[in-house]
Amino acid sequence: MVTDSGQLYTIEGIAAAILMVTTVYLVLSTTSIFTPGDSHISDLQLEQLGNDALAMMDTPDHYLGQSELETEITRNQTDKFNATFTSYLNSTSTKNEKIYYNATIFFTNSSTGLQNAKFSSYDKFRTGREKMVRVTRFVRFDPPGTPLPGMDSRSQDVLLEVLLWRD
Amino acid sequence: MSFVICSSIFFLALLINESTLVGQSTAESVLDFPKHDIQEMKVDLYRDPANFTNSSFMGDFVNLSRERRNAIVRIDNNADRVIIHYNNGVTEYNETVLY
Repeated sequence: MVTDSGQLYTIEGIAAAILMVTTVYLVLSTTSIFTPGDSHISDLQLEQLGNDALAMMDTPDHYLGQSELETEITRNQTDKFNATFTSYLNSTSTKNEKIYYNATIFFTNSSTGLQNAKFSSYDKFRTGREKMVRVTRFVRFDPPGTPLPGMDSRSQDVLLEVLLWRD
Repeated sequence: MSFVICSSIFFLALLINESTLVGQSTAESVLDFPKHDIQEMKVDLYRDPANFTNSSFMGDFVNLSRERRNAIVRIDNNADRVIIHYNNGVTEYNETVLY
């Protein structure tokens, strides 16, 4: 004979089973922390590294002095920029990391508008690169110096744009 | 009694599971803030008070920020204060300096 005297027990059993299965699922899915949206964090870390390297190079040694980056851009010292910048980017303890870059300078010409000129790069035969990030920095250009073609002969601010990637 | 303990364990497991997602989005919002853009633009501006009266120098910042950095910059030089407006679509930053 079928009665309804065991309904509460049945419902309690089903609820307990559902609760246990859901808890086990939550506990097991917590261990995989890498979500698909985390792939951009390494790009942001590379961008921070580039920003920090440029900030270090753009800090003057004494008050109202000229920083190393300003000297290199004003006098077009591309080799010195290359040496310092790559040493800052690849300063890991194992010396295995290789970060490559391509630097361009953007400036405003009063008659022709926005212009750009290639500055320096560290590139090699590419085997397949990862995603590239861009870091920029305003650098003051004070004459006299070695102006790039198309630049005004006035004291101005130019934008140094560096593209960074890992290979 | 056991049902109460089960539901409390379920709640704690849910809390730990959701916490990793929360940490990622707050870290992402911190990294998205254009701290470097704003700070080093201000460093180059404030080095010399005569910069604010040089209109072609101001034009450098406005043009280069707009063309290469996707940011609208406006620098006002009033009688006793300097106002900088910065807007890159995601973050808006306004600064007033009295001197």
